[in-house]
Amino acid sequence: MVHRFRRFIPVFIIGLAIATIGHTSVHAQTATPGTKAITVTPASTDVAINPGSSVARSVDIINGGDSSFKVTLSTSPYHVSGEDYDPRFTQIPGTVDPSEWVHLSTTSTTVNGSDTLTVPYTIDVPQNTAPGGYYAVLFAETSSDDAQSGVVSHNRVGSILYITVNGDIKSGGNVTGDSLPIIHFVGAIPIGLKVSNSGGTHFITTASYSVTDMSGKEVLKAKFDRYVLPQTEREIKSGFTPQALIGVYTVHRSATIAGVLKTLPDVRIYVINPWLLGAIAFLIGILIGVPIERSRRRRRSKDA
Amino acid sequence: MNQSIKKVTALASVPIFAIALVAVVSSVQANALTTSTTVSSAIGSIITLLTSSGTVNLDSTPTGVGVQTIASDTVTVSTNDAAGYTLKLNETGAASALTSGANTIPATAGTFGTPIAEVADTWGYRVDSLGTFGAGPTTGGANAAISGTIKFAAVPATASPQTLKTTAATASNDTTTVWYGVAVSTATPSGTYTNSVTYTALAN
Repeated sequence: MVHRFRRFIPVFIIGLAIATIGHTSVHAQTATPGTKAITVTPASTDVAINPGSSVARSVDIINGGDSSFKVTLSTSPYHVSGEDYDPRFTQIPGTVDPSEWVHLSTTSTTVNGSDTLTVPYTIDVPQNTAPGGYYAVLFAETSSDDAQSGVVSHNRVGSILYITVNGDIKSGGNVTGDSLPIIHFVGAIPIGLKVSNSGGTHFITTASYSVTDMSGKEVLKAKFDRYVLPQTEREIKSGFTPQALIGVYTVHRSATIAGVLKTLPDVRIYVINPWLLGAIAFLIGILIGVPIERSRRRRRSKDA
Repeated sequence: MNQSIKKVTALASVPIFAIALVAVVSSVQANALTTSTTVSSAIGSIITLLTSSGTVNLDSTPTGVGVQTIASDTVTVSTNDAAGYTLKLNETGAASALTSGANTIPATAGTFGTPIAEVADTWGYRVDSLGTFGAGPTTGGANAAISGTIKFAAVPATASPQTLKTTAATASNDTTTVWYGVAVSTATPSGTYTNSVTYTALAN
């Protein structure tokens, strides 16, 4: 009887494996309860408003998780710091706070799991506001209701408001290129540029990069659209990694300033891989060294 | 003779018929109506943030000399903004300490600019290879000896969020691991200590 039972063991194991695999479900990558997956759209809004006027807009708050969460909506001033445009949510002293112009239809609500909530708001510009660019950010922040102990996280996403108050606004700016090496040996070459805005409101710059080789063939082409706020300078980076061991490349860079294209002078870069340099040096050494050695030996044998 | 004429007439009618047929077809084609439709799709910009758990547990059983518990939070950001995103961290409220009623575990004296190894009865955060935190790698664990090499900083105040990451392209489920550590000795009263932090994600 034991022998008969042993015959069924492999079948039992296979059946158990099939049952296990059959019950294994593949979960799509969705947020698990407590993770508060929050999305805001649009990520930014660009509006032009007359002084004393209002515009109505809305943002969508999307709950990407299965459970509902409470969301708090708020606004803050927005400005940037440095060429790398680190965002800041405080008011620059002596400036107007445009976040006070934004009036949300609600500041606290609940978004159900896998649901989208549309939140209308208005931007009401005071009558005597000077023409120019003003910047704020609209935040949507979750809170955790199931906090027990430890570090509780609040997840906050922002939608930037680029506001232009219409009127007589000066525009202008400049483009400068990051300095490039004349000779390059190995690795990536940073070929960025900086766009400055000397005007009174923001513009979107299109920074273009192109690298051509000796034959004129384009080996790199890149374009980037970036906001540039007034009285700031923004660095827009790109890079190029030469593939050939030796070559001559020409870097072409340009950017638009308030719609006007400004082109930087082309820069030529000579690329030589150090391994190739070493190989050439070795070859030269052999070509020079061998005849010298032969000549020395002949002299020795003559003397002998 | 009459038959020959008939034959020629019959043969001549073929090309005439063909020419007439072509003329009719061309006329029909010239009068055909065409129209075109433009298909467009406006893709909205979005930014999404989620964290791995919502609460990072740092449960500890202290000893006289102190033990350290370290755990991580994974922050995931997605955006289709071509300029990428910036991720920041700050205290949600005014409190910088882990608090349980009247009892607190203060934040470490370390800062982002000068993080330090934790001493007993302090807590903080770190991100491997960010600033001067060091490469780590940090590993999670409970009630271990307090590390003298892994450095932490106090979570920055609400008004001064610290940038944890900046990207320059669209992102799909891009993750940042933030480590939290608490070092406690028996000088810390028992209790359930909490602190709230805020992660902020913004398109660039």
